[in-house]
Amino acid sequence: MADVSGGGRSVSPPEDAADRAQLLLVAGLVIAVTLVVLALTLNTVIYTENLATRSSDVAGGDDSIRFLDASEDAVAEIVARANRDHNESHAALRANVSVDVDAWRNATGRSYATNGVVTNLSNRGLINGTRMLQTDGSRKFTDAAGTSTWTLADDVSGTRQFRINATNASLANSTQTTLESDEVFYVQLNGASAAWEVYVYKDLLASTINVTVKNATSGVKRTPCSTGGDYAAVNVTAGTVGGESCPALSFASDLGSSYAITYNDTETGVGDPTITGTYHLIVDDGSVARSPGASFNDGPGNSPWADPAIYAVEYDAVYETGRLRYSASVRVAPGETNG
Amino acid sequence: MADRGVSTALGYVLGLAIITVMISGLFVATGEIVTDEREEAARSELRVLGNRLAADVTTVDRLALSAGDAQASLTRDLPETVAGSSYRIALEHDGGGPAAIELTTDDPEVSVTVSVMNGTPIVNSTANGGELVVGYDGSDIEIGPVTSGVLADDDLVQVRDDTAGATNVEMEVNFRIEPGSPTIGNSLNSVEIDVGSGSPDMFSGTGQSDVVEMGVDTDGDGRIDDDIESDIDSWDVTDGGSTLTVGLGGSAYTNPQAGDTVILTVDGVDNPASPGTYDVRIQTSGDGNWQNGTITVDP
Repeated sequence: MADVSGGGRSVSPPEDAADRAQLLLVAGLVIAVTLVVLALTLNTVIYTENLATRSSDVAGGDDSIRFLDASEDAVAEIVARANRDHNESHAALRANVSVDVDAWRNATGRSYATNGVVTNLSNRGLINGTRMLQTDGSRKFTDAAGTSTWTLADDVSGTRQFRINATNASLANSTQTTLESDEVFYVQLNGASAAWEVYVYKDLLASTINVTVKNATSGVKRTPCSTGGDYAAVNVTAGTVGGESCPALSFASDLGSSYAITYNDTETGVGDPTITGTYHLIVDDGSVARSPGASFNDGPGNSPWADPAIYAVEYDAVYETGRLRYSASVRVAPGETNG
Repeated sequence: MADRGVSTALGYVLGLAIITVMISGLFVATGEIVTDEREEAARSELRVLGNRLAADVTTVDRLALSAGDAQASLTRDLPETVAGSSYRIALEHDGGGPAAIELTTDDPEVSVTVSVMNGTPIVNSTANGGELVVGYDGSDIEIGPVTSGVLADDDLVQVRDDTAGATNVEMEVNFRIEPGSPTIGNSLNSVEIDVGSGSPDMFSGTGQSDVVEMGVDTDGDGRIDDDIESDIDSWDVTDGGSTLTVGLGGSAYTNPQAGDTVILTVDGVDNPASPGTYDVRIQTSGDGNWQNGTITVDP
């Protein structure tokens, strides 16, 4: 410290000179430490920013969806394969499907387990159905006994894979406005709250095969869908005509929980066909194969015939990793448009 | 001569003052740089974390929409601190537009909001930085600490099949013990389920052998941690089948705590014949502390 007491020459002692930069030294140190701390803080930013470059799906969300999709595909294929065979009873069919689903579950479960993933499928139920089909392309759409207008299935709540493949040459000629007076083949889907009619005919003016959908309750007809060629593939449940989308066919949601499927005017008054070809549909009513009896042959190959079928499979799927737990209830009914 | 001492003192004081001002200036400048940088660092970290979390919410949203009755939960390990201070996360949705994830730190005071589009309802929820869970319990998306009960079922009672008149239906009860409940601290002696709204006969066909599981979820993850099924010692169906009392010996679950959930799943229950919503109330240990829920059966 400087001597400021006065009196005499004041000279700072030499040893004080070494202490004079203390303030600067301490200040420099404090600032240095602060900057080091700042550097550390910025380092954590580098780590966090680094996170942003990594995949955001560390938990396996994509894989779980993939597993669900794979299970749906597998179960759909199992059901389709089981239904293709001519099955004697629903019991045998259910046993086959259950065994196959279990086999798939076990096989995939082992493969996922090697990657530390737990997967499971638990069967909640199989819904019985009936598969109805005609494979003889030259046959009329009459029932087994030759009746022109007949009901394929009554009191169904779901239909899937309803495909009609009509031969062009056999179709009745008509126009959009004269469908009712001309004897034209149509499928009627008659529910409690709504009824829809799907007409398949040859359009006189445009020389195309047309499909017109009519709301039988209001009488309003939708814009027809058309296709050319020797055959017309109409997929009623998928809503396509000749492979092209046909918006007019989207009416399934109106039908409600109970409706009947009827083929009308499959031949003219004198017995000429208004349509020939093949068709295929599966309904969620397991009793059709037996109840109308005379409408279907016992098949297979003897058109038209009906077989017991599985309409839908319902199961719970579980996918678990260390970080993700996912479970879902799945209903597999391939080619279905309404529940 | 007398002036010389003064000049030395003055020079010294002036020197001291100048150095102090300079050093103060350095402190202030450095301090501002550090504060600015910390704020910027926190903001940039929160933005990254917010976006990571948004990706998780989107993943859970996608899983929720992937199939019927889906449930999903995803655990995310985020850093506990940003720029050296802890932070809070709030998931919010005001009903319209996209939902928002708001991340906030107090020191430095920074708040970052990240938008996230959602297809399933989002319930406003919060969590602190660190390990957290994004969960979808079948009705809405929620975030929370790992042990918060995000994954626990909120429904007091539910039936697996909601068709009116359905028989052999599985019923699940999730009774969460609330703070202050008389059941806390005493052994669990019974669970009583009482169906009101016309007292439909739902339980006549049930027996003790229909118990699928009974236990207590103590950590809020929706799963049974302590199995108490073996403690069941009586099964009373009264009021024409509309009331079921499951009696317990009281030796398995002796110290109920607030936040614990008693889970009971019973098979063989018959749904009411006519469609509608039915009031259900449940009490534990006959303590009169009823909790109310509903079940709805459709035609």
